[in-house]
Amino acid sequence: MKKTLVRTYAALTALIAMTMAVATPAQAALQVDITDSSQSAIPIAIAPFGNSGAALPVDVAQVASDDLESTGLFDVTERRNMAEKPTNANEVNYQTWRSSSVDNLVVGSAAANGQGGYRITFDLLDVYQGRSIASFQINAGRNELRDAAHTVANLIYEKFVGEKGYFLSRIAYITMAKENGALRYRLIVSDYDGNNPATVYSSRDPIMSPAWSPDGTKLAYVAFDINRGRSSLRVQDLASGNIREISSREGINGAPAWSPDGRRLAMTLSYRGNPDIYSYDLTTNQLTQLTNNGAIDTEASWSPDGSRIAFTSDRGGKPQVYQMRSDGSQVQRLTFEGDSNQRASYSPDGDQITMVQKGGNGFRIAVMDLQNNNIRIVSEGPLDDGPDFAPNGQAIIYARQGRNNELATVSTDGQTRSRLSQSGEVREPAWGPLGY
Amino acid sequence: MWEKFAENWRSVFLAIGLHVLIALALIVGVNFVTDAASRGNHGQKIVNASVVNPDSVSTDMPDPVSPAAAPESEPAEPEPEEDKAAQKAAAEKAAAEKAQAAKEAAAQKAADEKAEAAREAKEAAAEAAREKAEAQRKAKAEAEAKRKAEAEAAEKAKAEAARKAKAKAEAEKKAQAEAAAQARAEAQRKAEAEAARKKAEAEKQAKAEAAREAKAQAQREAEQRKAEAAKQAREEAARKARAEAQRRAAAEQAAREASMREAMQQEAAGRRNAANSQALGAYIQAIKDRVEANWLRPPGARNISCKVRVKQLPGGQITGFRLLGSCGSAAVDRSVEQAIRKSDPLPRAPSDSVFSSEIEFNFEPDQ
Repeated sequence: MKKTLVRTYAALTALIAMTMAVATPAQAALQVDITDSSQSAIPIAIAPFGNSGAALPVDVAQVASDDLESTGLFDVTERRNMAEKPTNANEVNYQTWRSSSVDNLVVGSAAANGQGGYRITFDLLDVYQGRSIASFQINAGRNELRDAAHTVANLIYEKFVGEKGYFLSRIAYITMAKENGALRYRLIVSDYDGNNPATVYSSRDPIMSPAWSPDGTKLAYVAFDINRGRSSLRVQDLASGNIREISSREGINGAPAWSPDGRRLAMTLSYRGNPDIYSYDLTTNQLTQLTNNGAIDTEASWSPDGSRIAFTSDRGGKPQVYQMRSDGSQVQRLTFEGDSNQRASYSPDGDQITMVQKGGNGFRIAVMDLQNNNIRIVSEGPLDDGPDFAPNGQAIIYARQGRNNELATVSTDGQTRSRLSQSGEVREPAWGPLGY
Repeated sequence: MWEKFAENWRSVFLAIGLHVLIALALIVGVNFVTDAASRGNHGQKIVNASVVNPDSVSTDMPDPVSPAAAPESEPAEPEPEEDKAAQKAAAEKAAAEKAQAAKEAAAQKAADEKAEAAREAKEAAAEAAREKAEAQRKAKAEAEAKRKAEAEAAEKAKAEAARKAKAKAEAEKKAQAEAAAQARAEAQRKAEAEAARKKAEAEKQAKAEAAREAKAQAQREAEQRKAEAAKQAREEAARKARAEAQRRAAAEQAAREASMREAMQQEAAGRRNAANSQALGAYIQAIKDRVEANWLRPPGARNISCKVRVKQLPGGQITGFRLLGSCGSAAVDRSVEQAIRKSDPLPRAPSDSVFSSEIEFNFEPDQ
């Protein structure tokens, strides 16, 4: 009885197995593994926005196109190469765009919103699907069309890249130029693309080390007074212009870095004889020494979660990047490659640091993965300095010196690069928060 | 009373039986005693009695008191437990008294018996004298009778012997005659037996000869048959061996042919499969190249992993797209779908055998 059952079961199993064996090939889908992708930039065209009435004071489509183009991630179709200039999805002849390999098309228009401003509507069209994959609407004040254009770029960017765009962020940097025969230093704040520059502070004496407060309302920087032989570390409110002096002690008062919560400043002071890193509480004015070492410890940078501080020290002989807990404990050396490494700065997610590495090709920008300590060089040199992550972590801004002084941005993987041309010598860029 | 009887009927019957037995013993005993008394003059008994220990005699001898004591052994009434010790003491005392009495009685008795024995001995001596005289007289008479009988017997024997001798002579004569006749008969019989024996001998010899001959013949025949059989067996074996060799050769041939056929088939199938798999590999590669060229992966997107199911027509036209779970972010999902859409139509299959209406794309760029 049991044997019969077993035999029946075996027969049944065999039958099922045979059925499956026969059935499976008929249903098996062809398996194709996609392990690589094109390195090409994303093809996109932003057709000129239509308007109902007078011409717009700002060419929204052009500003947004420049934003996307500046990242190096997009291959933006120039307006003169557009076969048609539709302003809404119904006017689009997809085949035309397909044949010119423009994968993505943005069409939109701006109209008065009845409050003195504008209402901007636009669609992101997938040329191959022949339909809109996203529709947006933006309200902008009368003088906010430029920001509205950056917002358009941010929305498109996020759709393709998966991260928030940084086109509304601002940067701070130092310029040095001769004015009326005398050298003048300026602390400048501008849009991320260098537009709308504004002088925050200027001096005949050097200005150094601008640092954005996490909320983007203040700048900490160092100003020198050559005549008095003094330096002062200060915090300036951008809206009011008010300056708060934090430290003007004997010796060095330098390299300010904001804690992520904006309550403290790390800085380098040498009033006790040797440059060490201190933490200054902006609320209680309490100063805490974090390093106490015979070597130079400087250029602090706070990790995004506030738990660690990276800094430069020559305690090993040459300047290298170290890391410690934000209370000064558990110091560990991070960099061992290159002649020297300095000016470290954390990525917004805290997984990487960027720094200046001195090697065979001079000073170049390097990115170090803190999970595996892999380092990759992302700039060409030979005199690159002052790297800082974009607020979305997708790019790094740095200063190039040499025959042409300029600011440059590079994608974190080093693949794409663009320049923000400036007049005069430009140093020490600092990238502010997203701005939205 | 009846209840007691019913309860102890065995005891009652035993008691009754014992009484009867004792009564019988008394009767028999009386007779025995009487007999003993009558035979009291048996000298040996008397002699024995004189040397017997009086103590043992008191127990061995039938006790004249015992019939009176018999009721004591009757277990009619169960004695109370508490009285047992007292009874025992009393009994012991009684026994002691009894023993004393018995001792005295035995002494008395021994004296009596001694006197009696003396008296009996005197009587016995007289009796013995009397018997001796009797015996002497008896013996004399018997001897006379015996002499007389012996004489008679001698005479009788003499007559008998004469008669016997005469009979014997006659018998011998008769026997001699008979013996002669018998000798003749015997000689004749012997001659006949000899003849018969000789004849039988001859016959036996002839028979044996014949048997031997037959046996030899049979042996010869058997040997011949055996040889024949062996020969046949050899031939059979040879034939079999030939057949086996032939069969084997044929089988080998068949196997060779089969394997050759199989090899050829395999080769053909292999060629076909190779061609197919080559074609399939090339087809898959073409699809892969196309999609990879069209996939613009979002910069910085990490840990991308997803599957996409695509349905296609034989011409490669995509009729269905299904993302089986997110690739990691909306941006990557979009890029994947656009890569597929941009690849429409997909490369055409080189043959129907490699075409599949469904394709599963595994986007795993970080592996």
